[in-house]
Amino acid sequence: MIQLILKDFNFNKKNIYISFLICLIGFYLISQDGQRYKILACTLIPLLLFNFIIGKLCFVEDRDKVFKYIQALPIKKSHFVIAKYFEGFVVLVVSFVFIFIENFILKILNKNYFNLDLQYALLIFSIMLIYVGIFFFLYFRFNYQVANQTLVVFYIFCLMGYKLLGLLNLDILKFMNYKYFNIFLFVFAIICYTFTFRLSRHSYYRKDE
Amino acid sequence: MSKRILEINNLCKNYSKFSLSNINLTLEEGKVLGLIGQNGAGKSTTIKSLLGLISYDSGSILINNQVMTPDNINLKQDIGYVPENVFLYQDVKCREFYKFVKSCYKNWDDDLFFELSKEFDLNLDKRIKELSKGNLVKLLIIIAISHHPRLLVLDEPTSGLDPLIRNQVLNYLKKVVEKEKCSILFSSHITEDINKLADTVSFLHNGKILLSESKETILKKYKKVVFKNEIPNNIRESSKFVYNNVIMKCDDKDIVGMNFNQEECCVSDITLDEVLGFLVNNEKKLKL
Repeated sequence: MIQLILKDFNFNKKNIYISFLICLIGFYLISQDGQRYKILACTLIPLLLFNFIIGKLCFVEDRDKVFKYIQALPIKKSHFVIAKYFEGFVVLVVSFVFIFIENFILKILNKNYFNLDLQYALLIFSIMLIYVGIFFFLYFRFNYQVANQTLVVFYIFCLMGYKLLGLLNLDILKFMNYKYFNIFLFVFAIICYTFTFRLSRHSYYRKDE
Repeated sequence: MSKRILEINNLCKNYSKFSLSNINLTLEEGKVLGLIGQNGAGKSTTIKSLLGLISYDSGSILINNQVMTPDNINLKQDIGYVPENVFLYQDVKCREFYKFVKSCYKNWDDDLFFELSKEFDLNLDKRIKELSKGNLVKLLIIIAISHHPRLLVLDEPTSGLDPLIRNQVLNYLKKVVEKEKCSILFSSHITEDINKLADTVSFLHNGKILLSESKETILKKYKKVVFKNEIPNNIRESSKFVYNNVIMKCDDKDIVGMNFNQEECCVSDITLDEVLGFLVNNEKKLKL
Protein backbone atom coordinates (compact mmCIF):
# COMPACT_ATOMS: atom_id res chain seq x y z
CA MET A 1 0.00 0.00 0.00
CA ILE A 2 2.87 2.32 0.75
CA GLN A 3 3.91 2.11 -2.93
CA LEU A 4 0.52 3.48 -3.95
CA ILE A 5 0.71 6.40 -1.55
CA LEU A 6 4.28 7.24 -2.61
CA LYS A 7 3.27 6.89 -6.24
CA ASP A 8 0.35 9.29 -5.84
CA PHE A 9 2.48 12.00 -4.24
CA ASN A 10 5.44 11.32 -6.53
CA PHE A 11 3.47 11.47 -9.78
CA ASN A 12 1.74 14.62 -8.63
CA LYS A 13 4.70 16.71 -7.48
CA LYS A 14 4.04 19.57 -9.88
CA ASN A 15 0.43 19.94 -8.74
CA ILE A 16 1.46 19.83 -5.10
CA TYR A 17 3.90 22.72 -5.56
CA ILE A 18 1.40 24.77 -7.58
CA SER A 19 -1.44 24.18 -5.13
CA PHE A 20 0.66 25.23 -2.14
CA LEU A 21 1.74 28.37 -3.95
CA ILE A 22 -1.87 29.26 -4.78
CA CYS A 23 -2.92 28.56 -1.19
CA LEU A 24 -0.09 30.71 0.15
CA ILE A 25 -1.15 33.69 -1.94
CA GLY A 26 -4.88 32.99 -1.60
CA PHE A 27 -4.82 32.78 2.20
CA TYR A 28 -2.79 35.99 2.44
CA LEU A 29 -5.20 37.88 0.17
CA ILE A 30 -8.31 36.63 2.00
CA SER A 31 -6.81 37.35 5.41
CA GLN A 32 -6.23 41.00 4.48
CA ASP A 33 -9.98 41.47 3.96
CA GLY A 34 -10.83 40.96 7.61
CA GLN A 35 -12.20 38.44 10.10
CA ARG A 36 -15.51 37.91 8.34
CA TYR A 37 -13.74 35.87 5.64
CA LYS A 38 -12.31 33.41 8.13
CA ILE A 39 -14.72 30.67 7.12
CA LEU A 40 -13.91 31.24 3.44
CA ALA A 41 -10.16 30.91 4.03
CA CYS A 42 -10.53 27.86 6.24
CA THR A 43 -12.70 25.98 3.75
CA LEU A 44 -11.00 27.18 0.58
CA ILE A 45 -7.49 25.97 1.48
CA PRO A 46 -8.42 22.31 2.21
CA LEU A 47 -10.77 22.26 -0.75
CA LEU A 48 -8.09 23.63 -3.07
CA LEU A 49 -5.39 21.28 -1.81
CA PHE A 50 -7.69 18.27 -1.96
CA ASN A 51 -8.90 18.99 -5.48
CA PHE A 52 -5.46 19.87 -6.81
CA ILE A 53 -3.71 16.86 -5.31
CA ILE A 54 -6.18 14.01 -4.88
CA GLY A 55 -8.90 15.22 -7.25
CA LYS A 56 -6.41 15.63 -10.09
CA LEU A 57 -5.08 12.11 -9.52
CA CYS A 58 -8.56 10.65 -9.44
CA PHE A 59 -9.31 12.48 -12.68
CA VAL A 60 -6.18 11.14 -14.42
CA GLU A 61 -6.70 7.59 -13.17
CA ASP A 62 -10.30 7.62 -14.29
CA ARG A 63 -9.66 9.29 -17.66
CA ASP A 64 -6.74 7.08 -18.62
CA LYS A 65 -8.17 3.90 -17.06
CA VAL A 66 -4.87 3.38 -15.28
CA PHE A 67 -6.60 1.13 -12.76
CA LYS A 68 -6.91 -1.54 -15.42
CA TYR A 69 -3.14 -1.83 -15.41
CA ILE A 70 -2.43 -1.19 -11.75
CA GLN A 71 -4.90 -3.84 -10.58
CA ALA A 72 -2.85 -6.48 -12.36
CA LEU A 73 0.14 -5.58 -10.18
CA PRO A 74 0.66 -7.53 -6.96
CA ILE A 75 -1.30 -5.10 -4.80
CA LYS A 76 -4.51 -5.92 -2.93
CA LYS A 77 -7.59 -4.31 -4.42
CA SER A 78 -8.63 -2.93 -1.06
CA HIS A 79 -5.30 -1.14 -0.77
CA PHE A 80 -6.30 1.21 -3.61
CA VAL A 81 -9.23 2.37 -1.54
CA ILE A 82 -7.28 2.54 1.73
CA ALA A 83 -4.51 4.54 0.03
CA LYS A 84 -6.94 7.14 -1.31
CA TYR A 85 -8.73 7.51 2.05
CA PHE A 86 -5.41 7.82 3.85
CA GLU A 87 -4.21 10.45 1.38
CA GLY A 88 -7.47 12.37 1.73
CA PHE A 89 -7.08 12.47 5.51
CA VAL A 90 -3.42 13.49 5.29
CA VAL A 91 -4.16 16.30 2.83
CA LEU A 92 -6.84 17.67 5.16
CA VAL A 93 -4.52 17.56 8.17
CA VAL A 94 -1.71 19.19 6.18
CA SER A 95 -4.02 21.92 4.92
CA PHE A 96 -5.00 22.86 8.47
CA VAL A 97 -1.38 22.79 9.60
CA PHE A 98 -0.66 25.05 6.63
CA ILE A 99 -3.46 27.45 7.67
CA PHE A 100 -2.14 27.67 11.23
CA ILE A 101 1.46 28.20 10.12
CA GLU A 102 0.61 30.89 7.59
CA ASN A 103 -1.69 32.60 10.07
CA PHE A 104 1.09 32.56 12.64
CA ILE A 105 3.59 34.03 10.15
CA LEU A 106 1.12 36.79 9.26
CA LYS A 107 0.79 37.58 12.97
CA ILE A 108 4.58 37.81 13.34
CA LEU A 109 4.82 40.04 10.25
CA ASN A 110 2.18 42.37 11.73
CA LYS A 111 -0.24 41.75 8.88
CA ASN A 112 -3.96 41.06 9.25
CA TYR A 113 -4.56 37.57 10.57
CA PHE A 114 -7.48 35.45 11.70
CA ASN A 115 -8.37 34.56 15.26
CA LEU A 116 -8.14 30.82 14.85
CA ASP A 117 -8.49 28.24 17.56
CA LEU A 118 -8.55 24.46 17.60
CA GLN A 119 -12.30 24.34 18.21
CA TYR A 120 -12.97 26.27 15.03
CA ALA A 121 -10.46 24.21 13.05
CA LEU A 122 -12.08 21.01 14.32
CA LEU A 123 -15.49 22.19 13.13
CA ILE A 124 -14.30 22.96 9.59
CA PHE A 125 -12.09 19.85 9.52
CA SER A 126 -15.08 17.64 10.39
CA ILE A 127 -17.22 19.15 7.64
CA MET A 128 -14.39 18.72 5.13
CA LEU A 129 -13.88 15.12 6.22
CA ILE A 130 -17.52 14.32 5.46
CA TYR A 131 -17.14 16.03 2.08
CA VAL A 132 -14.02 13.98 1.24
CA GLY A 133 -15.72 10.76 2.33
CA ILE A 134 -18.67 11.41 0.02
CA PHE A 135 -16.30 12.36 -2.81
CA PHE A 136 -14.39 9.08 -2.53
CA PHE A 137 -17.56 7.02 -2.29
CA LEU A 138 -18.94 8.56 -5.47
CA TYR A 139 -15.56 8.11 -7.14
CA PHE A 140 -15.24 4.41 -6.34
CA ARG A 141 -18.91 3.67 -6.84
CA PHE A 142 -19.26 5.58 -10.10
CA ASN A 143 -16.45 7.67 -11.57
CA TYR A 144 -14.70 11.01 -11.34
CA GLN A 145 -17.43 12.82 -13.29
CA VAL A 146 -19.99 11.90 -10.65
CA ALA A 147 -17.56 12.49 -7.76
CA ASN A 148 -17.02 16.00 -9.08
CA GLN A 149 -20.63 16.77 -8.18
CA THR A 150 -19.92 16.08 -4.49
CA LEU A 151 -20.45 19.72 -3.50
CA VAL A 152 -24.00 19.55 -4.88
CA VAL A 153 -24.62 16.24 -3.07
CA PHE A 154 -23.12 17.71 0.08
CA TYR A 155 -25.33 20.79 -0.17
CA ILE A 156 -28.44 18.65 -0.66
CA PHE A 157 -27.54 16.58 2.42
CA CYS A 158 -27.06 19.73 4.50
CA LEU A 159 -30.37 21.11 3.31
CA MET A 160 -32.13 17.85 4.08
CA GLY A 161 -30.52 17.76 7.53
CA TYR A 162 -31.61 21.35 8.19
CA LYS A 163 -35.17 20.60 7.09
CA LEU A 164 -35.27 17.45 9.19
CA LEU A 165 -34.17 19.35 12.28
CA GLY A 166 -36.85 21.94 11.51
CA LEU A 167 -39.50 19.24 11.25
CA LEU A 168 -38.39 17.84 14.59
CA ASN A 169 -38.57 21.35 16.09
CA LEU A 170 -34.88 21.30 16.92
CA ASP A 171 -32.88 24.53 16.77
CA ILE A 172 -29.59 24.07 14.87
CA LEU A 173 -28.04 27.19 16.42
CA LYS A 174 -28.76 25.84 19.88
CA PHE A 175 -26.99 22.66 18.85
CA MET A 176 -23.99 24.54 17.53
CA ASN A 177 -23.61 26.52 20.72
CA TYR A 178 -23.49 23.33 22.72
CA LYS A 179 -20.11 22.98 24.46
CA TYR A 180 -19.21 19.65 22.95
CA PHE A 181 -20.79 20.18 19.52
CA ASN A 182 -17.45 20.26 17.69
CA ILE A 183 -16.32 17.05 19.30
CA PHE A 184 -19.62 15.38 18.47
CA LEU A 185 -19.35 16.58 14.90
CA PHE A 186 -15.78 15.30 14.67
CA VAL A 187 -16.82 11.86 15.94
CA PHE A 188 -19.73 11.91 13.50
CA ALA A 189 -17.34 12.84 10.66
CA ILE A 190 -14.99 9.98 11.55
CA ILE A 191 -17.94 7.57 11.57
CA CYS A 192 -19.08 8.91 8.18
CA TYR A 193 -15.56 8.61 6.77
CA THR A 194 -15.25 5.02 7.99
CA PHE A 195 -18.71 4.19 6.70
CA THR A 196 -18.04 5.64 3.22
CA PHE A 197 -14.71 3.77 3.21
CA ARG A 198 -16.50 0.47 3.74
CA LEU A 199 -19.03 1.31 1.05
CA SER A 200 -16.27 2.39 -1.35
CA ARG A 201 -14.30 -0.81 -0.78
CA HIS A 202 -17.40 -2.88 -1.36
CA SER A 203 -18.27 -0.96 -4.55
CA TYR A 204 -14.72 -1.14 -5.84
CA TYR A 205 -14.60 -4.93 -5.50
CA ARG A 206 -17.88 -5.23 -7.35
CA LYS A 207 -16.95 -2.79 -10.08
CA ASP A 208 -16.67 -4.94 -13.20
CA GLU A 209 -15.72 -3.17 -16.36
CA MET B 1 5.74 -34.30 -18.52
CA SER B 2 5.93 -30.53 -18.41
CA LYS B 3 4.23 -28.57 -15.67
CA ARG B 4 0.94 -26.79 -16.17
CA ILE B 5 1.22 -23.10 -15.52
CA LEU B 6 -2.34 -22.16 -16.34
CA GLU B 7 -5.53 -24.15 -16.13
CA ILE B 8 -8.91 -22.62 -16.81
CA ASN B 9 -11.87 -24.92 -16.23
CA ASN B 10 -15.43 -24.16 -17.33
CA LEU B 11 -15.04 -20.44 -16.87
CA CYS B 12 -18.35 -18.58 -17.19
CA LYS B 13 -19.01 -14.88 -16.95
CA ASN B 14 -22.32 -13.26 -17.78
CA TYR B 15 -22.92 -9.69 -18.80
CA SER B 16 -26.25 -8.34 -19.98
CA LYS B 17 -25.27 -8.48 -23.65
CA PHE B 18 -22.40 -10.93 -23.65
CA SER B 19 -21.33 -14.04 -21.86
CA LEU B 20 -18.29 -16.26 -21.67
CA SER B 21 -19.42 -19.85 -21.58
CA ASN B 22 -17.40 -22.83 -20.45
CA ILE B 23 -13.95 -21.63 -21.35
CA ASN B 24 -11.37 -24.37 -20.90
CA LEU B 25 -7.72 -23.59 -21.49
CA THR B 26 -4.42 -25.07 -20.41
CA LEU B 27 -0.92 -23.76 -20.81
CA GLU B 28 2.26 -25.65 -20.10
CA GLU B 29 5.56 -24.30 -18.89
CA GLY B 30 7.64 -22.68 -21.63
CA LYS B 31 4.80 -22.78 -24.17
CA VAL B 32 2.86 -20.07 -25.93
CA LEU B 33 -0.91 -20.15 -26.12
CA GLY B 34 -2.51 -17.93 -28.73
CA LEU B 35 -6.09 -16.74 -28.33
CA ILE B 36 -7.58 -15.83 -31.69
CA GLY B 37 -10.91 -14.17 -32.13
CA GLN B 38 -12.67 -11.25 -33.66
CA ASN B 39 -13.21 -8.04 -31.67
CA GLY B 40 -15.69 -8.80 -28.92
CA ALA B 41 -15.07 -12.56 -28.99
CA GLY B 42 -14.19 -12.64 -25.29
CA LYS B 43 -10.40 -12.62 -25.37
CA SER B 44 -9.97 -9.63 -23.07
CA THR B 45 -12.71 -10.84 -20.70
CA THR B 46 -10.94 -14.20 -20.39
CA ILE B 47 -7.66 -12.45 -19.72
CA LYS B 48 -9.16 -10.03 -17.19
CA SER B 49 -10.80 -12.93 -15.37
CA LEU B 50 -7.59 -14.88 -15.13
CA LEU B 51 -5.74 -11.84 -13.81
CA GLY B 52 -8.40 -11.26 -11.18
CA LEU B 53 -9.31 -7.86 -12.65
CA ILE B 54 -12.94 -8.91 -12.94
CA SER B 55 -14.89 -11.55 -11.08
CA TYR B 56 -16.34 -14.62 -12.79
CA ASP B 57 -19.61 -16.42 -12.20
CA SER B 58 -18.46 -20.03 -12.21
CA GLY B 59 -15.54 -22.26 -13.08
CA SER B 60 -12.00 -22.18 -11.80
CA ILE B 61 -8.72 -20.56 -12.71
CA LEU B 62 -5.53 -22.18 -11.50
CA ILE B 63 -2.19 -20.55 -12.01
CA ASN B 64 0.74 -22.67 -10.91
CA ASN B 65 -1.79 -24.97 -9.24
CA GLN B 66 -3.12 -22.18 -7.05
CA VAL B 67 -6.57 -20.64 -7.32
CA MET B 68 -6.43 -17.16 -8.76
CA THR B 69 -8.37 -14.55 -6.77
CA PRO B 70 -8.26 -10.75 -7.09
CA ASP B 71 -6.17 -10.49 -3.92
CA ASN B 72 -3.75 -13.37 -4.52
CA ILE B 73 -0.66 -11.18 -4.43
CA ASN B 74 1.79 -14.06 -4.36
CA LEU B 75 0.45 -15.39 -7.65
CA LYS B 76 0.51 -11.95 -9.21
CA GLN B 77 4.23 -11.77 -8.41
CA ASP B 78 4.67 -14.50 -11.02
CA ILE B 79 2.63 -12.81 -13.73
CA GLY B 80 3.63 -10.16 -16.22
CA TYR B 81 0.86 -8.30 -17.99
CA VAL B 82 0.69 -6.12 -21.08
CA PRO B 83 -2.80 -4.68 -21.48
CA GLU B 84 -4.64 -3.63 -24.58
CA ASN B 85 -4.95 0.10 -25.34
CA VAL B 86 -3.49 1.33 -22.10
CA PHE B 87 -2.73 5.00 -21.64
CA LEU B 88 -1.10 5.12 -18.21
CA TYR B 89 -0.18 8.38 -16.49
CA GLN B 90 0.46 10.60 -19.48
CA ASP B 91 2.52 13.27 -17.70
CA VAL B 92 4.77 10.89 -15.82
CA LYS B 93 8.28 10.07 -17.00
CA CYS B 94 8.98 6.45 -17.96
CA ARG B 95 11.70 6.31 -15.30
CA GLU B 96 9.26 7.34 -12.55
CA PHE B 97 6.69 4.85 -13.75
CA TYR B 98 9.25 2.04 -13.84
CA LYS B 99 10.29 2.88 -10.26
CA PHE B 100 6.71 2.54 -9.10
CA VAL B 101 6.20 -0.84 -10.80
CA LYS B 102 9.57 -2.00 -9.52
CA SER B 103 8.50 -1.25 -5.94
CA CYS B 104 5.62 -3.74 -6.35
CA TYR B 105 7.74 -6.79 -7.25
CA LYS B 106 10.06 -8.81 -5.04
CA ASN B 107 12.11 -10.31 -7.87
CA TRP B 108 12.67 -7.16 -9.87
CA ASP B 109 15.83 -7.34 -11.97
CA ASP B 110 17.21 -3.85 -12.64
CA ASP B 111 20.06 -5.18 -14.80
CA LEU B 112 17.59 -6.94 -17.08
CA PHE B 113 15.37 -3.86 -17.23
CA PHE B 114 18.18 -1.52 -18.29
CA GLU B 115 19.65 -4.09 -20.67
CA LEU B 116 16.28 -4.43 -22.42
CA SER B 117 15.68 -0.68 -22.46
CA LYS B 118 19.00 -0.32 -24.26
CA GLU B 119 18.21 -3.16 -26.66
CA PHE B 120 14.81 -1.66 -27.45
CA ASP B 121 16.30 1.82 -27.68
CA LEU B 122 13.93 3.33 -25.12
CA ASN B 123 14.52 6.76 -23.67
CA LEU B 124 13.40 6.48 -20.04
CA ASP B 125 13.52 10.24 -19.51
CA LYS B 126 10.64 10.80 -21.90
CA ARG B 127 7.15 11.36 -20.58
CA ILE B 128 4.68 8.56 -21.32
CA LYS B 129 2.62 10.86 -23.55
CA GLU B 130 5.72 11.48 -25.68
CA LEU B 131 6.12 7.78 -26.49
CA SER B 132 4.84 6.36 -29.76
CA LYS B 133 2.42 3.42 -29.55
CA GLY B 134 5.25 1.03 -30.43
CA ASN B 135 7.54 2.42 -27.76
CA LEU B 136 4.78 2.30 -25.15
CA VAL B 137 4.19 -1.39 -25.91
CA LYS B 138 7.94 -1.99 -25.71
CA LEU B 139 8.08 -0.25 -22.32
CA LEU B 140 5.18 -2.33 -21.03
CA ILE B 141 6.74 -5.55 -22.30
CA ILE B 142 10.07 -4.72 -20.70
CA ILE B 143 8.32 -3.89 -17.43
CA ALA B 144 6.30 -7.11 -17.65
CA ILE B 145 9.44 -9.20 -18.17
CA SER B 146 11.83 -7.55 -15.73
CA HIS B 147 10.59 -9.43 -12.68
CA HIS B 148 11.12 -12.84 -14.33
CA PRO B 149 7.46 -13.86 -14.51
CA ARG B 150 6.46 -17.46 -15.01
CA LEU B 151 3.40 -16.44 -16.95
CA LEU B 152 3.31 -13.53 -19.37
CA VAL B 153 -0.16 -12.36 -20.37
CA LEU B 154 -0.32 -10.19 -23.46
CA ASP B 155 -3.65 -8.71 -24.49
CA GLU B 156 -3.39 -7.72 -28.16
CA PRO B 157 0.03 -6.17 -27.72
CA THR B 158 0.74 -5.89 -31.42
CA SER B 159 -2.48 -4.23 -32.54
CA GLY B 160 -1.78 -0.83 -34.03
CA LEU B 161 1.95 -1.43 -34.41
CA ASP B 162 3.75 -1.14 -37.72
CA PRO B 163 5.10 -4.41 -39.22
CA LEU B 164 8.69 -3.63 -38.33
CA ILE B 165 8.02 -3.02 -34.66
CA ARG B 166 5.60 -5.96 -34.59
CA ASN B 167 8.33 -8.27 -35.83
CA GLN B 168 10.80 -6.87 -33.35
CA VAL B 169 8.35 -7.41 -30.49
CA LEU B 170 7.47 -10.95 -31.62
CA ASN B 171 11.10 -11.94 -32.09
CA TYR B 172 11.89 -10.65 -28.69
CA LEU B 173 9.04 -12.57 -27.10
CA LYS B 174 10.35 -15.74 -28.74
CA LYS B 175 13.72 -15.11 -27.15
CA VAL B 176 12.08 -14.56 -23.76
CA VAL B 177 10.36 -17.93 -23.88
CA GLU B 178 13.62 -19.65 -24.73
CA LYS B 179 15.74 -17.78 -22.21
CA GLU B 180 13.39 -17.39 -19.26
CA LYS B 181 11.35 -20.57 -19.84
CA CYS B 182 8.24 -18.52 -19.17
CA SER B 183 4.85 -19.30 -20.62
CA ILE B 184 2.92 -16.79 -22.67
CA LEU B 185 -0.78 -16.29 -23.14
CA PHE B 186 -1.11 -14.10 -26.18
CA SER B 187 -4.36 -12.73 -27.54
CA SER B 188 -4.70 -11.16 -30.94
CA HIS B 189 -6.97 -10.80 -33.89
CA ILE B 190 -3.88 -10.74 -36.11
CA THR B 191 -3.52 -14.43 -36.90
CA GLU B 192 -0.13 -13.85 -38.50
CA ASP B 193 1.29 -12.94 -35.09
CA ILE B 194 -0.23 -15.99 -33.45
CA ASN B 195 1.18 -18.10 -36.23
CA LYS B 196 4.66 -16.78 -35.58
CA LEU B 197 4.61 -17.23 -31.83
CA ALA B 198 2.07 -19.75 -30.59
CA ASP B 199 2.48 -23.46 -29.88
CA THR B 200 -1.21 -23.93 -29.14
CA VAL B 201 -4.07 -21.98 -30.64
CA SER B 202 -7.56 -21.41 -29.25
CA PHE B 203 -10.24 -19.91 -31.45
CA LEU B 204 -12.83 -17.83 -29.60
CA HIS B 205 -16.13 -16.57 -30.90
CA ASN B 206 -19.05 -15.02 -29.01
CA GLY B 207 -17.61 -16.11 -25.68
CA LYS B 208 -17.14 -19.74 -26.72
CA ILE B 209 -14.06 -21.72 -27.65
CA LEU B 210 -14.63 -23.15 -31.10
CA LEU B 211 -11.37 -25.01 -31.41
CA SER B 212 -8.30 -25.45 -29.25
CA GLU B 213 -5.36 -27.49 -30.49
CA SER B 214 -1.66 -27.33 -31.13
CA LYS B 215 -0.81 -25.08 -34.04
CA GLU B 216 1.08 -27.85 -35.82
CA THR B 217 -1.88 -30.21 -35.57
CA ILE B 218 -4.28 -27.60 -36.88
CA LEU B 219 -2.11 -26.73 -39.85
CA LYS B 220 -1.45 -30.41 -40.56
CA LYS B 221 -4.91 -31.78 -39.96
CA TYR B 222 -7.05 -29.14 -41.62
CA LYS B 223 -7.02 -28.68 -45.39
CA LYS B 224 -9.03 -26.50 -47.65
CA VAL B 225 -10.61 -27.74 -50.81
CA VAL B 226 -11.21 -25.01 -53.38
CA PHE B 227 -13.70 -25.84 -56.10
CA LYS B 228 -13.32 -24.19 -59.47
CA ASN B 229 -17.08 -24.03 -59.88
CA GLU B 230 -19.97 -24.69 -57.52
CA ILE B 231 -19.53 -27.31 -54.80
CA PRO B 232 -21.45 -30.49 -55.70
CA ASN B 233 -24.56 -30.85 -53.53
CA ASN B 234 -23.58 -34.17 -51.97
CA ILE B 235 -20.27 -32.68 -50.81
CA ARG B 236 -21.86 -29.44 -49.59
CA GLU B 237 -24.36 -31.40 -47.50
CA SER B 238 -21.73 -33.66 -45.97
CA SER B 239 -19.33 -30.81 -45.17
CA LYS B 240 -19.55 -28.92 -41.94
CA PHE B 241 -17.34 -26.03 -42.91
CA VAL B 242 -18.35 -24.42 -46.17
CA TYR B 243 -17.73 -20.93 -47.45
CA ASN B 244 -18.63 -19.97 -51.03
CA ASN B 245 -16.81 -22.50 -53.21
CA VAL B 246 -14.36 -23.60 -50.52
CA ILE B 247 -14.75 -26.27 -47.89
CA MET B 248 -12.55 -27.10 -44.91
CA LYS B 249 -11.87 -30.73 -44.13
CA CYS B 250 -10.24 -31.86 -40.96
CA ASP B 251 -8.74 -35.13 -42.07
CA ASP B 252 -6.87 -36.48 -45.07
CA LYS B 253 -9.16 -39.52 -44.93
CA ASP B 254 -12.12 -37.19 -45.24
CA ILE B 255 -10.75 -35.78 -48.44
CA VAL B 256 -9.80 -39.17 -49.84
CA GLY B 257 -13.28 -40.42 -49.00
CA MET B 258 -14.90 -37.60 -50.87
CA ASN B 259 -16.15 -38.51 -54.25
CA PHE B 260 -15.20 -35.72 -56.61
CA ASN B 261 -13.33 -35.06 -59.77
CA GLN B 262 -9.71 -34.04 -59.08
CA GLU B 263 -9.83 -31.55 -61.92
CA GLU B 264 -12.78 -29.72 -60.37
CA CYS B 265 -10.93 -28.70 -57.27
CA CYS B 266 -7.60 -28.42 -55.56
CA VAL B 267 -6.60 -29.33 -52.01
CA SER B 268 -4.19 -27.02 -50.28
CA ASP B 269 -2.84 -26.05 -46.86
CA ILE B 270 -4.87 -23.75 -44.72
CA THR B 271 -3.93 -20.66 -42.72
CA LEU B 272 -5.11 -19.85 -39.19
CA ASP B 273 -6.99 -16.91 -40.63
CA GLU B 274 -8.97 -19.23 -42.86
CA VAL B 275 -9.62 -21.70 -40.06
CA LEU B 276 -11.06 -18.84 -38.00
CA GLY B 277 -13.18 -17.77 -40.95
CA PHE B 278 -14.63 -21.27 -41.41
CA LEU B 279 -15.28 -21.76 -37.69
CA VAL B 280 -17.03 -18.40 -37.32
CA ASN B 281 -19.04 -18.97 -40.47
CA ASN B 282 -20.18 -22.36 -39.22
CA GLU B 283 -21.23 -20.84 -35.90
CA LYS B 284 -23.28 -18.19 -37.66
CA LYS B 285 -24.89 -20.88 -39.81
CA LEU B 286 -25.79 -22.94 -36.74
CA LYS B 287 -27.26 -19.89 -35.04
CA LEU B 288 -29.48 -19.23 -38.04
